[in-house]
Amino acid sequence: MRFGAWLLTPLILALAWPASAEELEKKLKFSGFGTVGLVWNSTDQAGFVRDASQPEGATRTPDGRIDSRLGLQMDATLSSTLQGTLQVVSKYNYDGTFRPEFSWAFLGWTPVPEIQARAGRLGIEAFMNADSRDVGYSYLWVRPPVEVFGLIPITRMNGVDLTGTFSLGGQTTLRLKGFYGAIVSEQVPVSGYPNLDLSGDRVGGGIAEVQSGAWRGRMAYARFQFRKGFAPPVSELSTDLENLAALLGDPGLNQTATAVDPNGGVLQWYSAGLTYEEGPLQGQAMLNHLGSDRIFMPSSWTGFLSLGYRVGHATPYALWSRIDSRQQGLPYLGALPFLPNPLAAQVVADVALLTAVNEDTQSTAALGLRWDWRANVDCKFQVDRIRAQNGGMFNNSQPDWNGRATVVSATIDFVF
Amino acid sequence: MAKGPSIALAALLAACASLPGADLRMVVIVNADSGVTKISREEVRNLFLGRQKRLPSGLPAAPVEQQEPPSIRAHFYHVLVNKDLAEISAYWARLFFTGQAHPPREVSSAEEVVRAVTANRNAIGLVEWGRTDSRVRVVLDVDDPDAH
Repeated sequence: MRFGAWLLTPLILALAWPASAEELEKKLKFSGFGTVGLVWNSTDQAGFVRDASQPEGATRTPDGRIDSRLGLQMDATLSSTLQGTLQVVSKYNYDGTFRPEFSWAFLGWTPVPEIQARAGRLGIEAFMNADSRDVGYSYLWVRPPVEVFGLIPITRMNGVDLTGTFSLGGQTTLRLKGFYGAIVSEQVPVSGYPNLDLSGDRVGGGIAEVQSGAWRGRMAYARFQFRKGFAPPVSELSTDLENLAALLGDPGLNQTATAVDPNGGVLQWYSAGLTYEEGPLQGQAMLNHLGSDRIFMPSSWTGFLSLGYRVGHATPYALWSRIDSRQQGLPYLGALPFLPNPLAAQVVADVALLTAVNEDTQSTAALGLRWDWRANVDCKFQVDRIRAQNGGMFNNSQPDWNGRATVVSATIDFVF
Repeated sequence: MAKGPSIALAALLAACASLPGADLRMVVIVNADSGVTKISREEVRNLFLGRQKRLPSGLPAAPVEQQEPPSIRAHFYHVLVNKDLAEISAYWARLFFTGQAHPPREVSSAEEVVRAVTANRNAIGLVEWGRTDSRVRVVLDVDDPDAH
């Protein structure tokens, strides 16, 4: 999967290659973005992470890994209708390294100004700003709200997308986009289990966005289909449940066997977002529903509200975000908890563990300041007060943690 | 007793009043063969923010911007969308680094804007009033509050 993106590099360069250096300079454009950030967490009992793919979280030692990142981009104008873009991002990966990965590597075709078709490595725009989450300079906060952006760390695919931008008359414009592809090497560390590996699984969806004056409204839908997901022992749990269902003649356990098996699972993400930007005022709201038929990722509601007001070069802001998981306690276990059988006891314990791990309920109230101290560079400072249940979105939380944390962050963002 | 705060308030108001290039007067220019005779503020705003892709005459649009001095762009975006340059730059960072759209082409001076608009019938630019000549057509007076 990875060499697919590498393959596009020489292709785009070859297509861009004309005769003179002067022409090349016209055709190629180099740029980049980055963030240098430090995070401090008031508790040692739970690690603060930006999204579920980060293997270790910030504790009481200031941590530079969580928010720091660097992106480099090359844009090639290949003809009046053909473009190529390569973007590489280095950030804290699931395996603890900062190994750079292709976030974008595509050929774009614009037959008419309103239509763009792209193929290759693409960001997944499953909801508002989902594909620009690494570009700190482009938003007000230190990082996008963890409760919304941190839940499903699926950001890239090898696939296609098609975008249409239309004027609806007056000041109103409409943007429509559809996408489909194979997820690229996103892994989620799960304590006590092998990583959840999502590469190759299918993602598809669409967006409708209306912009009118100061308002921008957006509806989005995305569907993730997991074909392999967890390796054993979780897939064994499903088999064990099927065997017990046959043994006990209890078809209810077959449904539980399906619910605990991530393979074949489908996540559906429905999103509505609204922004209002008038002069110095910036308001944003988003509400999402995640529908799931599997226990490893329970159905949930997520959302945030954000309000900022620019005064000179400084923009103070307030941000509130929440995730509410809808896990209905333990799934059906029939007579299993009462059986004096070691396999049944193990299955009950595993199902309980799987259920408990995934109850992501958490809310954050944050205050911050963005200061645009010079062209293309900003400094940000943010304080988050977080309340979590059952560990929330934190990493490696201790059972005796009271679920409260204050997180203090400072970042410098830049683009060039 | 209220004197301190009221002086501070007056200073703040004075600071707000000295907006970027408050004495500038800017006009939007197009190529004489573009088929455009007038354009609304909304259309200029949407064209320069990449939300609208065609000139009112139906030609694909190629916006051109003057980088120096920065007060020219600052004034334009202040009048048109009430945003400062950092906000415009953040706006483009989101679109550009997701491969969605490119910001207006940058040229260094007013002369180059006029030259670019003269050379390309898709181009649309803006310059200070008085920097235009007969080769281009003025289609909007940005600083005329009665222009829509």
